[in-house]
Amino acid sequence: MKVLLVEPDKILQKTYANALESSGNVVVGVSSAQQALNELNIEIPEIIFMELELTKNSGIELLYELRSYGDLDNIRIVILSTIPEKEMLKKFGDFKEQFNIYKYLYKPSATINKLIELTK
Amino acid sequence: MDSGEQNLIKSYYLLQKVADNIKLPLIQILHQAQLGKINNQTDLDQIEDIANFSLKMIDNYVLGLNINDNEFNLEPLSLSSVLYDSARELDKLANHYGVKLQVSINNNFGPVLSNRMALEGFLMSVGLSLIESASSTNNKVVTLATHKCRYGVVAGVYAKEINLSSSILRQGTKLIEEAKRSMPEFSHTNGAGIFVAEKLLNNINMKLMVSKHRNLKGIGTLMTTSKQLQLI
Repeated sequence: MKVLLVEPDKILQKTYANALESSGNVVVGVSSAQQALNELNIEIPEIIFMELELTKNSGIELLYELRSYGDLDNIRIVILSTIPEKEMLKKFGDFKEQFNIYKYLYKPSATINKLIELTK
Repeated sequence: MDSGEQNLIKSYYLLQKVADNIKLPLIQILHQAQLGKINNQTDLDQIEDIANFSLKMIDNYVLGLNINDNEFNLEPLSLSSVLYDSARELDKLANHYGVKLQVSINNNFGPVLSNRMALEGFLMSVGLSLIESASSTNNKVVTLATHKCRYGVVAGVYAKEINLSSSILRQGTKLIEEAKRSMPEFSHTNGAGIFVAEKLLNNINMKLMVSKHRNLKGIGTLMTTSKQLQLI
């Protein structure tokens, strides 16, 4: 699967990329919303794993951008964040439905196996 | 608000941010250990479990601060399910300490009115403290238990040879701001887990107390069952 990984922490980006590549995925790792949009102009992935806490533009802003383009509608979006889902629901209401989020994973309880499983 | 109070509030929020920041290196350790296991590296279970548990402790601490209002709605709960879920989490850590973890549920009490997140957080935080304490005794068994008492139902964590009493807990609560280790009789650690548990319970108007279960000593909390809830 073609994967776009939006992860600002370099160590985690490397860990997740290694894990996803070891199971046969092709991974492009980026650190910011702007870099993610640049990558999307080059190639459209099948799945995006993304943190919501990003430098400059937030993950929510990136989601607005992503879901405003019709040709990006079919991309599975998996949130992989240090922010608990409950906190996001409180702030933004039912954002999962609004942005058609495939899965929300809270990093402390997410597992590497789960990430791999989502690309199958 | 005077400057002392302002400083206190600032420290409070700063500590919350520090706790949140510590999560990142722990997530890095946790996920690198999991990746290592996928790549057939051995001896990573302990690193994974300890990082995992440390993350849960930080989440419990932040939860106990109750920064976000309305986090602690009361709900009807099955105590046995809360005890078994908490035991499953604690068991991995207990194994690394060479401690056997047991669950003891004497009767079916019916549902109690409480909050699952707070109650599980309480059991996990106290559980960790008792596992650490029991690991240095001859009787390396920790029991998660519920029993009936005159005033309702008690749920808690217990062990046989730990040195814990109401006066030690009272003294520890008094010393928390002044002493590096506020309950040296009970634990070689600073006993922070007990106070995190106390904060979690306070958020749902419950109290942490020293309690006995058969011939075991430990820390529990009292809940009342509701006849109305038993119909649910």
